[in-house]
Amino acid sequence: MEQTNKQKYQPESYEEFLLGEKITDLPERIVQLRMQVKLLEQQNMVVMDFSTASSVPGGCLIKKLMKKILTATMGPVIQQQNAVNLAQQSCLNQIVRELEEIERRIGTGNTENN
Amino acid sequence: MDRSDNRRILQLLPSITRGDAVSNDAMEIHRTLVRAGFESHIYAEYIGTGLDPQVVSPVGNLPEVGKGDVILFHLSTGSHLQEILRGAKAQGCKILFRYHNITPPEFYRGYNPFLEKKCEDGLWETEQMRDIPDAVLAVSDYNRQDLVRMGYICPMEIVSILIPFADYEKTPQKEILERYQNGDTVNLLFTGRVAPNKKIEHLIAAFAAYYYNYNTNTRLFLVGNDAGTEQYRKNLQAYAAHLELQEKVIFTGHTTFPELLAYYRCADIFLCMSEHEGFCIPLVEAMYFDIPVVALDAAAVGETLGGAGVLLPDSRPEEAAGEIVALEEDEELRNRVLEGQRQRWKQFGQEKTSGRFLEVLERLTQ
Repeated sequence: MEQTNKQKYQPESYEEFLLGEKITDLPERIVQLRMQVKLLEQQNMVVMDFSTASSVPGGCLIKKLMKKILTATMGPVIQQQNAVNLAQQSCLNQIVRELEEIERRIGTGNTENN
Repeated sequence: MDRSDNRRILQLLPSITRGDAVSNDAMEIHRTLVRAGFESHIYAEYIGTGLDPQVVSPVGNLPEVGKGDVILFHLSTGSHLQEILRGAKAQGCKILFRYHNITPPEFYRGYNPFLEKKCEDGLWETEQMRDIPDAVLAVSDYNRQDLVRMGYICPMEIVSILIPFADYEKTPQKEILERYQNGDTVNLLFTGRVAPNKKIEHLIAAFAAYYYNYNTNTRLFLVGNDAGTEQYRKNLQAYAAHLELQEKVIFTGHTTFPELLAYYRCADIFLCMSEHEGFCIPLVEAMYFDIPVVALDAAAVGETLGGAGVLLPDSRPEEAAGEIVALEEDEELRNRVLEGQRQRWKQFGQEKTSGRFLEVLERLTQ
């Protein structure tokens, strides 16, 4: 009760956890994606527009995956709408493609809502 | 009082074992029938160990039945009993269904293809058999509505599960009491099979929210069998470990009855996040043991609680955690909830439920 002014802990959901477990079965892909993220980080592009990710097929799952990977790599990710420049969009699209490939390989259908 | 007119009531079910809800209901119905002077026997396709052969026999031993006999068929999963029921009906035997509901098969997808298929078959058979029963004794209105949706038009009455509460006064296991029953640690409890429809992952998530936001001096007991759902249990244990709660989330596996009683005696709050229950006996048990209940309002859960306990509109962990901490910290609220539960539990007392069962049986088989 006394924690109302503090950021509340929110457990990762079981589905996200299972997804993460599946991702770790594909280490080479993860290394590749983390390199992409590192690149973004070097370019000081920590602001990602997740609404863009949601607009592509399979985007909701991808959004979750992105958030998971980015959080693991860079700490908390800032979500901001309409803050994407062309360079970011390009990197984002690349990651989305990679993640779509992961999604295809692990066979996880996108049935999640935003 | 003998209400039987020497009638023979034979119960039929796919499987009977010690400890599961449907089997317990069948056994208690048997005792109720015998007390009322009926000739009663149980027949099952599968019979677990330790059951009295004077009471339970293989289905192959079912005697010839005819006019004046009643078969009470427990419907909770797929079986191979449809032809027997049709044959008995053709001989003039009254057929009653006791509908316990069938777990939607999709819950088992990815965990146990056999159980998934069994539930699929059960649902299909339930629809196929709608012309068989003369009447149905559904264990809840939720279940009755299920059958209406499947096209059942016979008379249907709601008769809740018969629970032998005298057994709950037996001695609980001492070691568990000594180990866990103390004044400091808040013990959260869930009892029931480790089955995907029980959404045990939501229990763990709710527990994590309570642990990390409010109280680290707590633990969660998950008391129940995982036979057939071992992969689900392994995933849940990995999930608990991922949340760094492996020491705090205790999977007991199958327990003896004295062990079950001990866990109830140790519990401070009963938490249920199940998404599919045709009745939910553990809620009634929690009310019997005077443990405040926090439960997701899904399937027949709200109906079983009948306005008592604390119902959650959704399974968000922070909501559940907030209700747990409210019950822990607000004594007035806790007392109010407990008083509501005591009133509700009276509806499930042995005399009341067995009296209702016999009254309905009499009416439906006249």
